[in-house]
Amino acid sequence: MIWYILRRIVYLVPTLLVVSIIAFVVIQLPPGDFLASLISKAEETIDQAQVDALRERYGLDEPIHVQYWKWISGIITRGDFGDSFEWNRPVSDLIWERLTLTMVISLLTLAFVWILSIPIGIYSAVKKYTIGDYLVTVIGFIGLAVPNFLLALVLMYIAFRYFGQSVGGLFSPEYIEAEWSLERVLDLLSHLWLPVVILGTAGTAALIRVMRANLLDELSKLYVDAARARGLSELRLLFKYPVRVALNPLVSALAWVFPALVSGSAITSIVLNLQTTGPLLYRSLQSQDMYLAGSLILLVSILTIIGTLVSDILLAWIDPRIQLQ
Amino acid sequence: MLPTRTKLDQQLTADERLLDVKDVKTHFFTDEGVVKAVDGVSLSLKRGQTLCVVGESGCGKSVAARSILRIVPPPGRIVSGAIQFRQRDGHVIDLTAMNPRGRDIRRIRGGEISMIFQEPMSSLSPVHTVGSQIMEAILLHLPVTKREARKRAVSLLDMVGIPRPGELIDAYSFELSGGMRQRAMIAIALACEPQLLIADEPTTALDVTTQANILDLIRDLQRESGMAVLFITHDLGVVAEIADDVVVMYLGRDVESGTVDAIFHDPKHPYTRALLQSIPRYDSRDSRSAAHDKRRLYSIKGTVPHPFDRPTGCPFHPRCEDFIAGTCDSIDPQRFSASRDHSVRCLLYAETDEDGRAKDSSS
Ligand SMILES: Nc1ncnc2c1ncn2[C@@H]1O[C@H](COP(=O)(O)OP(=O)(O)OP(=O)(O)O)[C@@H](O)[C@H]1O
Ligand SMILES: [Mg+2]
Repeated sequence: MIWYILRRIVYLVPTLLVVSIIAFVVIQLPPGDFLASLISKAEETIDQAQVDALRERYGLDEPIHVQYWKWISGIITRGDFGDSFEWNRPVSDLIWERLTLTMVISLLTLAFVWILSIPIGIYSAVKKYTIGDYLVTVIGFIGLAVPNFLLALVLMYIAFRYFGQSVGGLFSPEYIEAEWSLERVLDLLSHLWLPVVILGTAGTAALIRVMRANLLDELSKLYVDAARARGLSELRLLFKYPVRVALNPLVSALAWVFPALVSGSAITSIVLNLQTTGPLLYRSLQSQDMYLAGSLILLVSILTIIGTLVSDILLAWIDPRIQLQ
Repeated sequence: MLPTRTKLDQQLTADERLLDVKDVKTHFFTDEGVVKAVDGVSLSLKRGQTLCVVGESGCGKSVAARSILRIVPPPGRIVSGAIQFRQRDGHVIDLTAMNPRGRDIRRIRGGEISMIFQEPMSSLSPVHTVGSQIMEAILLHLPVTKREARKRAVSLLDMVGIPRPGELIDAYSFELSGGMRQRAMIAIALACEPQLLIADEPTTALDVTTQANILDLIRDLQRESGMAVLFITHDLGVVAEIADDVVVMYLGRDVESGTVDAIFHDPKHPYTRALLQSIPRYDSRDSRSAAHDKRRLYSIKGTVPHPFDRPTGCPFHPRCEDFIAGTCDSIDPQRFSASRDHSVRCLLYAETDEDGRAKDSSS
């Protein structure tokens, strides 16, 4: 197990390298170097000394691999992601809070999806072809079919109309610029359920189907009958054997559910006006704010890779067959 | 050897019935119609004896075995009949009257009656160790601690011939060969010294050498523990080797049952005769020519009918060599006794009964 994890971590290095190169290429994509766009965008004229200092800092006169090296070593050693010229601030100032919020929302959504879909999927499989199962199926398909933005609008209306909540954003107006405090956290939590439900609905519906199908497969396997023939009670039998095996694909689904959440949340975040990375990335791409865009792409990719790693390690931990392959 | 939980009751005589299956019918109520997988099976088993159930694929052997343990999968269910079983404490209970999810039947399963399945490759959990599954059986039925259960599991693995049992107890099923898995299944089945072992074609999926080893193992264990064995197979060679009694099944029914001698030397039912003729014989001096001589290999004409399309009258009549038009296709034969402990369900014997009248031996 230790060796398996170490091996996976070693494999991570080339992946991260490739991701960082792609992010760098994205930064270089707009025509001309970024100073040209900086100068063209600046409202007051920038004097030559300033331009030269920037040129020196980003190594713009040097070959491309040196530029990459300057960029990446800046990130690794100093946490310096470059400047956003739209915001005229260092990128690192802009992203950390948003990245944290994105993570919080994604993880909460994931928990929401699992907590709901696993028991419902189990119920649906054990009671297959009963009214309860059909009901779950129908609700599940509706959940899959309704687009997130529509769900967002409907739930926002409900939250506003019946719960009197401020609509959009993650904080009530009085807390937006406030320092972190217990009240601010509670305020955040009271706003979080909305994006979590919206983002999680489709995933929940999908995972209910996955769980139901997996479990139905496992329930008819011989090892279940064999355990029953040993005298195990139905409930213990269910959770010890078929459910346990049916969970494996769900854990591996973590690898794709997580990135889908991080990237898929962009439109919902725009509709709900959430301070997550999605809308920021969207704006930065529109305005060719390339250091910001590249940094966001890099960080979201790294999160995704780490998510995949975590899901692989979890899977190896719960399924002894994995490590041997 | 393993410590025995209870000495087999000495006061019960050897020929006392352990299991009496009486006219059990197990049907599957599918959307397409009712599949009468088992449609009137009777069999009985004495303490310490081996009963072989033979019949072509699909004739309901496995469903009959599952009916005894009450693990028939839905939409199947026992619709009539009785299954009487004498418990260790001497009480006779009817298994068909029990709630299949209840505590009573669970105490029987694994404790008094164990079962080994047809497919050793899939009868062990893919994500649990062999040891945890043996220990589970032990802890469910015996008042022992975890540590004692583990010790017992190791000695069971040793007993069924698994090498390095102390190590392989922590192996997963995918690390074992088919033969080893079946040995492990036998170890689980024997963990609580059941009175009855149901072995559903335990060797079909294995190669010939392993088959012989597993058979020997079951026979040795039976001799040591005195348990009865209900052995399901379609290999008549195996039957000749291990059976005391034989039940021949066709389309969910026992068509003939008797001692192994009666069945092999004095078969009554045309189906039994056909089955016996279909075994290749290697006893001639030139075994190669015998094996190649097509005329000596007889096969039963026709095929097993579709379950939704059961023939009227005697279910075997469309394939029968001795078919009597107007009789076999309209009258459903009862059981007639050919001699003591030898009954046959065929209209050819309706008149040959001692008293000259049709008599149902099961009543
Ligand atoms: N779950 C089920 N649903 C519907 N029909 C079933 C089911 N299980 C078994 N049957 C039917 O019951 C009949 C008997 O099946 P069974 O498995 O007992 O045969 P078998 O004698 O054990 O055959 P084999 O030698 O191939 O193991 C078959 O016709 C089969 O189609
Ligand atoms: Mg079978």
